[in-house]
Amino acid sequence: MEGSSKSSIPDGHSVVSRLQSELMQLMLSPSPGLSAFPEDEEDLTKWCGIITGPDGTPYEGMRFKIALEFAQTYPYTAPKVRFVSPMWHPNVDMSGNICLDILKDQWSAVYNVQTILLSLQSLLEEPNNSSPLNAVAAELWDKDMREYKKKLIARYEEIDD
Amino acid sequence: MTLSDEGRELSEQLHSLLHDVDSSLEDDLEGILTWVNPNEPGSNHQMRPPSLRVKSAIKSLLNGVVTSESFIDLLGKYMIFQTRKHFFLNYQSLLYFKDVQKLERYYEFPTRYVNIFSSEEWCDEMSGLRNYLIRQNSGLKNNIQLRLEQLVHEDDFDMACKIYEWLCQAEGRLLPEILVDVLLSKVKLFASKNMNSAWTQRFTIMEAYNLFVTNYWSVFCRMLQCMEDDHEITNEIYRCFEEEFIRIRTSQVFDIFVTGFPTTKPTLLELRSVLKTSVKYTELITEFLYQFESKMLNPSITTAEILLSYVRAIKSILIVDVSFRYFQLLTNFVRPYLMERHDTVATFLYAMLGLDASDLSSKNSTSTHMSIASQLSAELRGSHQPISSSTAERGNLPHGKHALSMNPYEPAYQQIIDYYLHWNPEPADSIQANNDQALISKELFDIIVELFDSKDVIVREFLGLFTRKLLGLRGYKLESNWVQSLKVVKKKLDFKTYSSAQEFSNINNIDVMLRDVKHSEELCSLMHEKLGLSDRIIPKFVSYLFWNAHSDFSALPKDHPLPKELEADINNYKKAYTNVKKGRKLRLHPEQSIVELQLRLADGRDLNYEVTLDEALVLSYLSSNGDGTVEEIVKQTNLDISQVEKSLKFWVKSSILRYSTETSRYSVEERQNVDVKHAVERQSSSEIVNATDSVDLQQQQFIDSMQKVLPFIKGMLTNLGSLKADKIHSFLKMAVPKEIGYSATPSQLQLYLNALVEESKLVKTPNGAFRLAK
Repeated sequence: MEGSSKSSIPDGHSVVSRLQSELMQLMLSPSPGLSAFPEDEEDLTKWCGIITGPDGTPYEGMRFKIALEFAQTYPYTAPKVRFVSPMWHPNVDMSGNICLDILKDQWSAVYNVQTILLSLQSLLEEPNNSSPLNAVAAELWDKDMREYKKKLIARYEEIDD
Repeated sequence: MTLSDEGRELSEQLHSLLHDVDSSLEDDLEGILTWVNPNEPGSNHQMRPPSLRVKSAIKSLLNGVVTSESFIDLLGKYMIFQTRKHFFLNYQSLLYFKDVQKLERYYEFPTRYVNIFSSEEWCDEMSGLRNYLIRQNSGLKNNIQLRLEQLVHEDDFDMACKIYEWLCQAEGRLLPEILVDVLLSKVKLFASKNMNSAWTQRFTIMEAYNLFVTNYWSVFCRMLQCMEDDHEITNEIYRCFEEEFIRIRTSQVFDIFVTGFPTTKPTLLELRSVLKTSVKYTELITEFLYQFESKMLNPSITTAEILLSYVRAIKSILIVDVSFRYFQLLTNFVRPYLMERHDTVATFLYAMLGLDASDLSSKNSTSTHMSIASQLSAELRGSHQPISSSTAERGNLPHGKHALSMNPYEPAYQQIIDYYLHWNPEPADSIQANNDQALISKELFDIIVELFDSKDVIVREFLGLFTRKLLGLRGYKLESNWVQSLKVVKKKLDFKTYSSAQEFSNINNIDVMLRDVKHSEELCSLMHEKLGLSDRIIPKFVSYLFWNAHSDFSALPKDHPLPKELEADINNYKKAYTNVKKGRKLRLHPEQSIVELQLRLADGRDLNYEVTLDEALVLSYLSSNGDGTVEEIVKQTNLDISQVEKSLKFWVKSSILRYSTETSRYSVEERQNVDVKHAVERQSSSEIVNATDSVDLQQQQFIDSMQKVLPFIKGMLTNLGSLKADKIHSFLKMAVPKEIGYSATPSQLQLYLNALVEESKLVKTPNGAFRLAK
């Protein structure tokens, strides 16, 4: 995306209608293990989501809550995404902030909530250990998977409905 | 000393006094004492003039030489003593004014003959007794007041004055409070007599007041002992009339708002001029809502009737309430109820757009329904014009409803000063309303549209109506009122302001549909005239993507074997179309096709039917094969079993087909069975089946429509944990897009959620919320 975000937003753009159509898509053709929904019926720009850990990874069978916040300029700017559930992952810090390129400089207006959820799920599968936010996790992931899992389980909290 | 002792002693004293003078008169004295004694009812005067003996005794004792002053004194004491004795023994048994009068006459009677009291003396004595009586006997006091009120109600002012005077004497003062109560109750009675049914008159209050003053004011003035031109009181009476007017009209609010509207307009205007506080408005509207609910909002009332009364009520409220504050209350009140009814939007649209009421009629409508529908239509005619100029004028008044009205009895400068110095601020919302010119020019259409959750509901229904109308159109000519209504809808539901492009394209689909119809006409005449195709087929070429509002055209239609001749004709059309429109393919939609049938049966019946293609195919199959079971027909016609059964029911009901219970086969009834009873039974049983069918169908449709929103329910519960039904409802209203459509009411949703709990898809938590089953 070039230039300032404001100047490149077409006239008549409405973040609400865009989010509404994304929501419909998400509801009518959901991806397994991924889900998201607005938190408040009055405000469509704050969503919460759930990501299930992919099979064959230390996160298997675990479910994590995330929060998404969309600016009025969405989809021309990336939403703010963070983990609400305590997370142990090389690219997630202790406050839940995520280091993921598509949520930063690699964001594009063609991405949507579904692609974000999918990217996060694959981030659980394959962390990017070259730029870790949690250096200990990155090191353990490479060197001591058992210890990694131990730390993960110690930190994991089941979602309470 | 007891009472009898004192009496005896007085009597003895009198005797001894007389004895000293002339002992021969003692018998006379004894006779007089008995005659005047009220406590000896058997032998006293008994309200009859004294006998000669008593008369002469009185004469000789009172006027004779023997009489001394002390004797007269003592006799007076004796009489007063006996009167008091009688009074205190009896006063508690006095219940009514007439008893009191009787008793007073009884006491007074002997004094006419034994004239030893001055009038003041006797009056003082009586006043004392009256005073005691009125203080001690509260039952009597009440009765006397009631009697006074009753007499005033009956216009018997002579007697009323008497009673009032008596009361004043007894209390020893004037009694304005009692008189004011009586006056007010008279005003109340008079007002209800003169105002109750005067709905078509404009100045009811003034007229009733004038009449009241003419007839009664002078009498009341006398009783109140005030001047006839005491305007403080007359103004107060006028205000009472106003209050009464408001009270009466409030109690009749449903009748004047709905039943009698628009002939009640004069009284509504009058009501507007006297309603001055928001409390009164609130009372009026609350009462209206209460009556509206009990009279209209129940299942036996048709939607058209409810809408009709709603529209009339809105018109009435707009007349009465210039602040435009209160009609919203009615809208909010009625909305949930009307939204539960599936035919609300359609009924509204038909009426609003002035479409022919007969278009709306379903099978079960009667002439009453039709007349209500046309009344509604008449009420709504012109509703898309700004609200009547009179309303607008009112809105332009400098101070709206508080405009200064001059009272002729007060100096003008005083009133002006009072008016401007006693200004009370109005609630914020009304100031906004008063200044909001946009609201004043608001049209009835807009107000009623607010009844619906959103304009989309109307657009969707209108599209459905329009599509159905166009699909069912015979030939290609659309009635002008439909064209007109399209214009109105497009203008009123201003689509440019819509953020979502979805509705915009939706309403414009109608343009494509109209173009399709026009195009079909051209194409049809080309095919009939130039290409020589069968003119028994009147095709509509629809661009199916734009006709989706009513039914799903995108699904490929099933292939049903058609009668050979028809099949050939259709194929000719397909070929011709592909020739004319290169690269395009024509597809028959049997579910939208209408077939005209001419039937000639063996018993000579010649019948014409306009039926669906399903029905025609079923009959055609049976007519060529003689008979068949349901399964055979399904197999041969490639129709769904439900369609086949429906068609069979229709033909059996029309006495074209016969069903044999022995063979379970249907066949054409070439000769009609004359057994009418049989026919009636058959018909009624099939109607019952139809009725249950339609209930099932409605339920099925509801469940189907809810199935579409199930993913949304699951989605929100996955992410948000457990939610209560009303929260889920508001989420669904926000999240479900128009093309899927969520129109259930909270109570319907609750039912559906409970059904999901039964299916173990959801779990209900102890606090009544729902969450996904694990």
